[in-house]
Amino acid sequence: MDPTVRAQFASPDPEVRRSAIADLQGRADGSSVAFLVAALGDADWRVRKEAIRVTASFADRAAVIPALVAALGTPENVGLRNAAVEALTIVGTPAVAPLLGALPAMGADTRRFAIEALGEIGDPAATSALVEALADQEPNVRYAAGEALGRIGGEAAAQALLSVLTVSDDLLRLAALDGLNRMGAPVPISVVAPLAERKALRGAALTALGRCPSGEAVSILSSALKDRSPSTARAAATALGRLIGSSDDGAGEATSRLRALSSDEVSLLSDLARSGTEEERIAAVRLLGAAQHPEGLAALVEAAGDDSIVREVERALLVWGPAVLDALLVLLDRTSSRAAASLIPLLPALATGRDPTPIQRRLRTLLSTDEDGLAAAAADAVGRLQATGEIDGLMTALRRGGPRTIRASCRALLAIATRDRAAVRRAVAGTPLEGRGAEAVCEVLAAVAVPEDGATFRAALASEDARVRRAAIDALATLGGPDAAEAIPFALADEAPEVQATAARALGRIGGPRASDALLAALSATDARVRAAAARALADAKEPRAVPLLRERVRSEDGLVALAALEALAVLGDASLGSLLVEALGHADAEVVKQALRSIGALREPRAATRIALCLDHPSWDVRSTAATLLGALRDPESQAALTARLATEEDSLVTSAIAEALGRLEPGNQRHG
Amino acid sequence: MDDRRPAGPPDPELDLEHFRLIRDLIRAFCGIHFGDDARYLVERRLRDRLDVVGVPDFAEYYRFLRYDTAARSEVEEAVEALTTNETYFFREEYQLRAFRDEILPEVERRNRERKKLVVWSAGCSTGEEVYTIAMMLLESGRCEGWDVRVFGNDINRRVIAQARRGVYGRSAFRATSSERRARFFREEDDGLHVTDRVRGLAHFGHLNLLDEDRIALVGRVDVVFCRNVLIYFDAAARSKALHTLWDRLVPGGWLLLGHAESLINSSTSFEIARLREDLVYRKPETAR
Repeated sequence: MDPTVRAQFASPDPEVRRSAIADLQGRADGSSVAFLVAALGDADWRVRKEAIRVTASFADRAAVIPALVAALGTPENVGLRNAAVEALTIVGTPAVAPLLGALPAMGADTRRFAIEALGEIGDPAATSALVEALADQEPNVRYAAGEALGRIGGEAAAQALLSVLTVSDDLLRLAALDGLNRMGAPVPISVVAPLAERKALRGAALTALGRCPSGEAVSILSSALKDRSPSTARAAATALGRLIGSSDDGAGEATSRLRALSSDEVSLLSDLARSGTEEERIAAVRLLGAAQHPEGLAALVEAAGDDSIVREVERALLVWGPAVLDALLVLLDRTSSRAAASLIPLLPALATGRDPTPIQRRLRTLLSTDEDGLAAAAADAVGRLQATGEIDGLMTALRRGGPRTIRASCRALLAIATRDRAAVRRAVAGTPLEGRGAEAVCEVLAAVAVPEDGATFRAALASEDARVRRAAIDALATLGGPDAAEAIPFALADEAPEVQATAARALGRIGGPRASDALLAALSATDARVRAAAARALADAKEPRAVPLLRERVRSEDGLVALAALEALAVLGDASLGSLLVEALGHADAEVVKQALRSIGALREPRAATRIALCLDHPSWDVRSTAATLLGALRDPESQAALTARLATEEDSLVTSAIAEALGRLEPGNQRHG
Repeated sequence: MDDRRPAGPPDPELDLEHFRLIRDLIRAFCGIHFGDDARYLVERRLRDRLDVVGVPDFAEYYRFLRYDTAARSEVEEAVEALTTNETYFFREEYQLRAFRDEILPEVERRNRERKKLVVWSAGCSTGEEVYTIAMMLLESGRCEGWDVRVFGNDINRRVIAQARRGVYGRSAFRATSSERRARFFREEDDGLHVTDRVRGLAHFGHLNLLDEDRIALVGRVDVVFCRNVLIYFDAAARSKALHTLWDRLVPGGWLLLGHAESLINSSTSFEIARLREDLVYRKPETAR
């Protein structure tokens, strides 16, 4: 090693030492290993961290892994041991065999660190050695093995951890409970209930009770909400929330217990709903919803501002039902806009069986607010109520509101039109199709149109606003008849490509020779979106003349066009697609490859499975996942080897589960032969 | 009016595959990463966008984001919808006290010659943190007559506009005492307005923390608050952001992260500084 670098490693300034290590990234050779391992034990944490990063990415693993394993046996330097564990964890599976090999010769203290590393790596190959270590003479090794098994998971690990729940060593039982909790493994209530009585095990046992669907678990957890220890009460609340969210067993017991909660308990749950972890917040919201205690409502309402848990809040309030409505209306004014916007659409469901007038009055006020989210939520609620009396308010919101309000008002008017078409028509007919919200007015008018409105829509094709022109095209296509067939093809000459694309889609809907001629020409449009829209529209129009042109478009470098052409050919049922599809498997765009795979699967030609299997090694995870799913659907036994081989190296969880599912479908009895 | 079921089709759902495809696009665009557990949040926040761009489901929305000529501006819209996070004044007050009682006196001593103080709230959302820092400065009585600036930036244009407006609803005051409310806000019909004195210290900019060129507009700063921002980044983006923060801080400058964040798993040159109520990071005096 360069003497300058050696000097940097020996510098008293940690920043110099850290930089020297960082510089070794990608350049380290065999002579650097000793320095890197020494740096893992540096007195400065930044130097250690840098050394972990560089060591773990060291290409020559045969040189570095033994050095890291040896570093575990340095009791004089705890920093070095911890850093070695961390580096081995990053190295991962290649370190498992060397660690297992070294385990028998290690002293008790070193074994503990090696077991910790095996647990962090999480490779099931270590399971049997760790199960054995549960009976190690050294208590710390046993505890580390319990934790490690919890990290690795799996049936064998769970069984081993369950078996030690009955030993007398509380620390081992705690490690086993923690491991089982980490795995989410079920634990028999007869085993775990007594453990909840032991102070040292209480928190972990309560967590485990959250996976014991029974009235007894509900009873223990409900009582533990009163526990003096805040952390125990929180653990009980989280477990109880999980329990009532996952099972109906014990639901009756839970409801009666929760309806009797004291103010203190409701206060605990309210705090948890506001400031707990996501899991705690979800549990607290469930419990507050089930408790239906008035003092818990404010926290529930606040929680609606958190998009991660708002679904739970909605469920809780809907279960609470109409009784919550009056208090909720009061709290809406005091909470954040986001929370209010989430809750307003629930009002119609909560008003079931009650006079809707007060709600409609409130919604009317909200419709006119400047806050786009709130006004949009009010419009949504009016739509759910299909409140004919609010049509004027919706029309005003549609003309004055922000983008979300305009869209929501439009949806609401369309919903009301399904109940009272005439009332909506009265409001919207004759309204000028210009200015703010004009495209939405056009959309609503289209839904309640009569043939005479064709002239209005044709006039709107001359609007300065491209959005209005698009809406007018859609409206004319909905109306159909000569107006549409005459006017829409001209829109393919519009200066805005998005209008041309809308016209192409509309022509596909109305069909006919003139539309098809225009669409065939649009396959050569300058803008890819128009070409793609034309391809799909020709499929909608079932136009056989399009097939040769679409086959050419499959070879387009533009992914959007190639994709649309493939989809159109699939709809048109081009029987001689085979070789073109195989060619498309090499397209640079993953979306095109996926569509080609789907088409190959649909054709069910003899070599389909072999061709699809080629894409199990595609660089894009979504292509691999699609290929696996299709192979499962084809149930061709010859796919099994390819799927199994890919499963061994696949790192993406979604692809792994698609492969596992496909292999499941290929099991004897599920296969399709010939 | 007995039928209160939602009218119209059910809300579109975001399946795992399209969640990941959309997430990957967003990550490539701005480095912000959403874990698998954020699927419902993403679904909820992007649902409105489907209607705005005129597509029926998330599969089509993904294609819009991939292929449409308006894709870039739509990705920006999606990022805006996903990154608007509600916050409140005087959040994590123990850290603000550490700033006021321990960091500020030290910075005042150090800068007394040039009489200038710059604090940066990186990823300031709707501005509550920026105004809170300004209020803490005023409360402390320090740096009177100095050139004091509290700068806030965010990738989200909409929240910056809201921050500049300085008008807040009740939920922003869940941790604000009535004395502070009376001193630093005035109540009007549309909400509580930050007083002009506080606003005078606050400056806002629409800047992406990962845009190295534009972020230089912030200049050199004495203290950075970057709370609950780095958690949204993947490792590469986080490292880049840390480099930017380092670069903008003066030697001896302070970095304050959120209470659940640390640099323990990052390659960094920041030193840990243990204060009475908090553990913060510091650019070494010797660094340049």
